[in-house]
Amino acid sequence: MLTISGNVVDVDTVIHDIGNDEIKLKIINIMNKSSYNYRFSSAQELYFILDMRKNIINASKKLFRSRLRFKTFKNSECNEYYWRRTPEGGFLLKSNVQPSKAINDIYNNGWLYGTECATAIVIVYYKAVLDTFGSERFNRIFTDIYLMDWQNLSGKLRVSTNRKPPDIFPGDCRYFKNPDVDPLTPEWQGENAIDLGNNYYYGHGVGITTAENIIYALNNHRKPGSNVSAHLLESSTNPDYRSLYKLYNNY
Amino acid sequence: MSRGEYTDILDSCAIILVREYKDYSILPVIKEIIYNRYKQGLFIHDMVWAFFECRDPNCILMLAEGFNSEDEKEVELTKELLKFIPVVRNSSLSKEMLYSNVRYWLKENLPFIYYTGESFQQMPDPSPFEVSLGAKYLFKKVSRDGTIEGNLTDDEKRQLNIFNTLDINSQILLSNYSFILHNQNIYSWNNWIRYPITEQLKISAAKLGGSIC
Repeated sequence: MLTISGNVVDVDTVIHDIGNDEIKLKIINIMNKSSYNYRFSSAQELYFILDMRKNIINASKKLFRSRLRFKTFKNSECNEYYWRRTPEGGFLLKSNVQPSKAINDIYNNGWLYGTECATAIVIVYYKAVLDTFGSERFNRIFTDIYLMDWQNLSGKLRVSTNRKPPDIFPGDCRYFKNPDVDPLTPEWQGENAIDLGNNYYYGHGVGITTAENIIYALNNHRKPGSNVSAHLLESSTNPDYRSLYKLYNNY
Repeated sequence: MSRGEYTDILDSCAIILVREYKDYSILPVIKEIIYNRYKQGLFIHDMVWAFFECRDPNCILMLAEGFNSEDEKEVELTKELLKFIPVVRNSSLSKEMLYSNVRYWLKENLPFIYYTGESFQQMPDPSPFEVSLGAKYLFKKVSRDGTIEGNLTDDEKRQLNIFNTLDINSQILLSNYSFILHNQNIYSWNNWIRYPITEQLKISAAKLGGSIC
């Protein structure tokens, strides 16, 4: 169910406003058919969230094409013109560069960068926010960016995980867990992957592929003799869309 | 051998010893490596993962001792590693109080705590250990993977099914009250647990004032 300002939404009106966008239509239909009440303060907030999810999916596809390399934190690499590589393997935005240019550099010069899957998702989130907010807003608001998996996120980009979400949406980050990972390759203990809304996922290191192929790739990195398969968890991870909407509006 | 290769070998040894050989005597050494690396700004996630892979909630106390340190960086890391515990999360208490609260929380909940396997790679706020509220409600121990030990009666299964449909705040209220009552008076608890859940909720809220763990 969808409610805006406490009123149940006439889905046909929303569908009319968003046009023929397949991803946005899919999201609206999931919300409409759900027994969970998806509440929005305004139609604009709903459209903002739809834009964000669409931009997360687009940013995922573009990052895949960027030739960003897979590297563990111990061997991570970045373009030192925009980022300082920290001793723990993260990328800290330099103070004398524009945040939007630094994020776009990862997309334009991906081969200069190497990191692991969770950091790639955070890069996707920042790119999606940049494309939704525009450069001027983005540069004013997101002045301190540290790319180091899920930790040390800027207070302005909040991300959280719902362990038992009522529904799954295109744009959600899912986690494929590999319980019997080979201890010599801890980076394969799991894969963070964006649901692209068409039964495909983007995961850095495995590319754009199906759930079955991600599980197959993880299973190839199990300890010898194991028959415990990798599997997709119920959980989903997302940016805090409401706080982003407030930031967007308050600019 | 480069420093990077040395680090890789240490990390691999840690996870192999803990996960494959169940050698938990190594945990204090792993803890020391984690804290030393943190103070140098180095990568710690793989070592933290190895540490928690002992799957024993008693390891929480080993980390909590970091609250007793005079080194602020050690206290900071201890807060970060234990922020999945409600008494630590968003707390402005002194480090001494945090240590006492963690000890008390662990003592109260130990029979009901299980290992989730969540890690820093997986999500922003991993909770490697969780309290099984259903187990606490029924006052039954859980095994390390979260399954309730022993066989449940049909009544217990029915109660648990209803319990699992409640919102999280109601679950916390019931499980906390159940724990307190069971420890105070087992005969009263045996009566209370047989009431319909709606009655249990009314009684719990009246006694605890609807307070949450």
